[in-house]
Amino acid sequence: MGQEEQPLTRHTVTDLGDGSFLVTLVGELDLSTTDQLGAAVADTIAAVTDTLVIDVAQLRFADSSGIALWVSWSQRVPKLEIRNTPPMILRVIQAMGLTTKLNPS
Amino acid sequence: MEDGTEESQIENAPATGAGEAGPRRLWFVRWTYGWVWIVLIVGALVTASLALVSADLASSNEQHLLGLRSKEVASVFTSALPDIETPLASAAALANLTGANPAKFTQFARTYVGLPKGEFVSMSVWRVGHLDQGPVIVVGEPPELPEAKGGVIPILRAAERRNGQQAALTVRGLLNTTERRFAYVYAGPRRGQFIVEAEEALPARYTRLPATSAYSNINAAIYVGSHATASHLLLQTVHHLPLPGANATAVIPFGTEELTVVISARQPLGGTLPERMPWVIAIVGVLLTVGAAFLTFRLIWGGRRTQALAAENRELYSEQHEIAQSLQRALLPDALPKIDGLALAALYDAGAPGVDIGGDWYDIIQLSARRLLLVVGDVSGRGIRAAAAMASVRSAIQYAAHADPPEDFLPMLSGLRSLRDQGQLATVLCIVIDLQENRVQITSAGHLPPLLVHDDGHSEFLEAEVGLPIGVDTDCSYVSSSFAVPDGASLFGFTDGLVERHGENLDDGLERLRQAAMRASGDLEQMMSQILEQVRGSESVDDTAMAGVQWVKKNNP
Repeated sequence: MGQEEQPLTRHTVTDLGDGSFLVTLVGELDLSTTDQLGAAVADTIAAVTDTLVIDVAQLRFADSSGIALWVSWSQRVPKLEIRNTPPMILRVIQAMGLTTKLNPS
Repeated sequence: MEDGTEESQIENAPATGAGEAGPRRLWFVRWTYGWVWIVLIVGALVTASLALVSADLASSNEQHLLGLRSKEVASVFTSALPDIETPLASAAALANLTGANPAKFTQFARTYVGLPKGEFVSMSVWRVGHLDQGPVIVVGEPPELPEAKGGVIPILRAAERRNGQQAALTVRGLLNTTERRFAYVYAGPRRGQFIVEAEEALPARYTRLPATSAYSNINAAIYVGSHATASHLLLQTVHHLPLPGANATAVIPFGTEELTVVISARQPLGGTLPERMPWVIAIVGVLLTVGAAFLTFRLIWGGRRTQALAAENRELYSEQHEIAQSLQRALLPDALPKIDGLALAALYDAGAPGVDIGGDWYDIIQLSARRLLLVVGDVSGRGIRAAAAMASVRSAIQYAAHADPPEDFLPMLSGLRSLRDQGQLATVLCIVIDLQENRVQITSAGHLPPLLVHDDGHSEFLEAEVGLPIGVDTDCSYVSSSFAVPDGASLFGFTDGLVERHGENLDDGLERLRQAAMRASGDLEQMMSQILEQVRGSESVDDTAMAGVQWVKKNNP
């Protein structure tokens, strides 16, 4: 494809026990990587029966499609927690009117 | 009508592609062979020269070894001389001391003459100065030397002349006499009355070397004299001369005579490896060359194929892109309404090439004679799924907007199945324009604020309260905010594709937009294309929708 240097989103999943999982995201999350990440984590999301924790401390960039993915996760798990959100991403969440809904910290 | 032309273009595209592939393939096949030939020729040349050099080295090495070997063979003969000289010197001394007493001399000579233990077949004593009278004493067989060509006299005379000057062994090969012999004449260092002559029987001309011999790996022919003359042949180890293969010749002194030793190798003296090396190099070289040629062929063929595939992909891609664009155009309004006192413009940009269809849209709907609704929205994601969701949200708004204000119809949109089932969400910006009062009412469902550009270039974002995007929660509410707009001002709604850049804060992107809008000039449409060009990142993969409205100055002529 003609796209230059596709930014990669790497992720690690940690089972926190009692139906809670931690998903750590590293890299950049945009339109071109959202679908892959969604597909890669789908099984984990389905396994969450308590809290899904997303650690985004090492995420350099997230656009509206990435945040839309987190919203779709939030609709499928009992409880969602977004941790260590960099200001840049906080701003996007705020612009989308999702601060209350996602309650990032 | 327009759809028809689009379709026929698409159908034609693969046919043109196939037509081009024909001659292109021939062209690259020719070139592939060209390079393969070059590799083959270079490989063959390198292989041949290496093999030749190796063959040359092997043969010169072999020749060198052969030369050494010939000297070695010669030295065997040379080393035999002292064994012959010693008894002759003793015999000459005895003859001179005893005045050639026959009984004493015969007793002494018996040790050396006659088989089995004696090496001579004949030993005789001659009186100096009376050579033509014949031998004084003869032990064993009569000497053959007198019968030899040239006779005994010149040889004995030569020995006689040297008598008393230096000890010397005169040697003469008697090859053409009754029995083949070597004749040795000894004259002592002290001048004596007698000189001694002895003769040694020679083996048959053809002598086969035993397989266990140190010389079993060579053939040899030995001649008396300094030349390989057939009549002077002393010994040969093969049935027929000349010796087969490469020869080496050594000429060595043998008493006063000379021996010429000619040898050739039965097996390579340096072993078989140097001899086989040129062949090994040739075979390995040929294999490597063929391998390299094949690899070259595969590389070029693979490269061309990749290029052809890439070209095909590009073609397919541009086709797809065209389909996507026409589909997107079909999903967006074909024409904007014409309103007195307002300029309206909108654009859609699919983003970087390689991107198909997106979920961004704009819409301008005339609600009543007094109210106009401008909508800009963005369904998350890409592709047909996003476009389909966008189409359904857009038509739902077109339908609902005629009955309810945005803050009332937006909550209902979250119930749209096309969004909920796919887990998608949409951000929507609704701007209701009051045509009589120069006022706008802005409602945002998670969308970026519109930008107001004043007549004097000063610009600002109209920040309304931001509600949840559509599709997040059915239980949500929205608040509209009202703003007054001055004559001559322009208001732009846009999607995040315009301002988002990797590694940049959203606010920096918004500021870039604000600055670009302040610099933009011309009519509304020109302003929008300038803004798009300046603000949008060239590497952006996201699509962008933009819609703008300009309040035409009332005092304008």
